[in-house]
Amino acid sequence: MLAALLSVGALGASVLELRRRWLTVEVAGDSMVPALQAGDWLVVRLIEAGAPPLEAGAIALARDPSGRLLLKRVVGLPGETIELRDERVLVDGRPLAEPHARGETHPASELRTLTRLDRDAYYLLGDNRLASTDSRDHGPVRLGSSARLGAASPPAVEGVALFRYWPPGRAGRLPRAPRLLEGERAPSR
Amino acid sequence: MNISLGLRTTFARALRPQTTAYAHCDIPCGIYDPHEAQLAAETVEKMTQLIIDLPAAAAGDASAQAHYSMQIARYTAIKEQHAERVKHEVRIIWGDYFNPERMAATPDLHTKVWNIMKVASQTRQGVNIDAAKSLRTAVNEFADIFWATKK
Repeated sequence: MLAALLSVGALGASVLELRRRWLTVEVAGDSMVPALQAGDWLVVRLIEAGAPPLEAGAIALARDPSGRLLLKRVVGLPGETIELRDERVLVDGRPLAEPHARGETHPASELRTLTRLDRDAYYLLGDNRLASTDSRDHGPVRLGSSARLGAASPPAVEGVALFRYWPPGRAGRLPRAPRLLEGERAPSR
Repeated sequence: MNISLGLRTTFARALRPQTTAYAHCDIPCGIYDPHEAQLAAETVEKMTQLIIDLPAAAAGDASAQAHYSMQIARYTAIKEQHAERVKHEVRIIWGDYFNPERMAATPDLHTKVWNIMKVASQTRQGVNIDAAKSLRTAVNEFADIFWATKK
């Protein structure tokens, strides 16, 4: 009897724990096409205090200045210089290959083509470059903690999308698009 | 039976995402905006006028002549650049934004765009203030057509 009560309690606690660390979201919009489609259901791991840094190519859940949650690809890492030139993305002066991206990368303004990322700032872009509002418009974002999750928190990366669980036909782990510099080959696995 | 239906509903509710995350685009998001093309067309006209108005250097004054050549080269370079920018920006809106539905009110849009391409090339080929003025008019008209589709 006691064992049964304890296990029910443990189950309840772990569900609460899961709710604190994970978030399920429905995708709206086409800026991450073809990787994400509108209507996809995803599992997002929320960023906690002391979380490891993001990896380039991951799909980040970030809040824009209006408080809306966005899904965008991590393109620039802390300390890097991102330049948008000739419809391409350059990291520290070297162009990216970006086979997962669609369309030319235009800056939001000809006056904002160069971004130096702070120690804790990331540059996010939608894969569908001609139809995405992202760091080109809102600037870079910092890593946030889920403790601050809420409309009042400053724009920040609040999670990383890991799995798609709907539709069943495309369910599974979301592949991280490895960031390749022009001429580099994808690491074979 | 009821229990199974209830279980299924509960299950479906548990699976439903907690919130919506946007992979979105706020159109116009800087990409579909004819303003760049209009600015570039104005620049072409301005540079053409500057070339026409630049007083020639006195014969025999080598330094003044060098300065004159440099100014002409600068104006021409900017004129070339911006004429090409007009063509680039207009092509993007024409190719990526317009579709049969948005063209319904302007069935001769293709001809108008084609005309912009031709006139923009004319502004590059010579010091042609008439071509520059008609480029500006044509690009402004194109911008009006674009904004009319947003109403």
